[in-house]
Amino acid sequence: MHRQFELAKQQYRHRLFSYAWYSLRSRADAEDIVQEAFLKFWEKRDGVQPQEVGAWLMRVTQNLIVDHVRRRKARAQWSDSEADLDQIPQEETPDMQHVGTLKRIVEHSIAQLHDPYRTTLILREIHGLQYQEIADILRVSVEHVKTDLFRGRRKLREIVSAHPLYHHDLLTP
Amino acid sequence: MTKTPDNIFCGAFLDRLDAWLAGEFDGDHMQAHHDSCESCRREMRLAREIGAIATALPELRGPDIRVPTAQELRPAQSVLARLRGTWLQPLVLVPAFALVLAAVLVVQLREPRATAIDPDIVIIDGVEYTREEIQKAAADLELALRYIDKYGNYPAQVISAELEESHLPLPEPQARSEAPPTI
Repeated sequence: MHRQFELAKQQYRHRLFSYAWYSLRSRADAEDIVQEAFLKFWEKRDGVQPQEVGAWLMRVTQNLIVDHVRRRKARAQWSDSEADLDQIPQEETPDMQHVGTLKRIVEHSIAQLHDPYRTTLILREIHGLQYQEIADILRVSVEHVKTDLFRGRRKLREIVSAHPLYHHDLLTP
Repeated sequence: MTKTPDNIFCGAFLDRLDAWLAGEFDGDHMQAHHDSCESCRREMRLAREIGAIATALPELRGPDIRVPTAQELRPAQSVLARLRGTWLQPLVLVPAFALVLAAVLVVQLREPRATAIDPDIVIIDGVEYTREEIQKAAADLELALRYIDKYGNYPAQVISAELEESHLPLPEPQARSEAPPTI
């Protein structure tokens, strides 16, 4: 079992952290959520099939993120964590200092999306998962995933377009 | 909302744009609308640009997962075992015990003190009678009362004869009072 736990750590901790960070844009919160997800995995390890570990961890992380966002909204502390962006170590995101305005807007806007659009979009665009993999994680049909993805992309465009820093000149000619 | 000569509104174009870009939606009218609508062309450029940015976002390096503590590393337990383990924690056990003790004391103080008498044994004037004996005595008494009602001053021998046939064990004279046993 220790072996399975170690494998899961190596295989999924970056993905879970990325998912949490792009959802919350806070390194501390993302780390806490990943730690908690793995702790839950350890506690429930007997009930998780080896082939289900990845999807199981993603679902747990998704629930933790949703809870976290809900608590944060309840505390009315929802804020643009621009400072957290700078906390990402430079070697992890080498181009972060040279990132274009549109890229920053897109990153910020992804975190503004509601679930399931945010999760679907992150899993598909950032992690490059196949529709079927996303469907397995979210326990929905592939068609459902596609619908959420297309709606999520449209909503993302709306959020980006409404961002105060966005203007058409940011687009590549 | 513009309706172009290709007979499609911008709203319909935008609704299908992402599916079209993903190759999930095929339609010449989409391309025709795209070619003729500046606003939708810009929306499509934005969609492509956002898509390119999003897919290029890096997967970030996660934290080192700390090894669970010894307490967290306890072997998997059943719900019952975990519950038992929880109850054995001093912080839970001591208050729980105190609570139970307080509840018992309250009940003891509020309830009238019950007599420790076997409900099947009744003691009358220091003599123990069983429930069965009391029931038979009651039946005898009822019979005697019926005789009295019926015959009034009928000779006591009649009543005595009837009573002798009854089941009530007659107590020793010095231990019994004259009055019939009361329940």
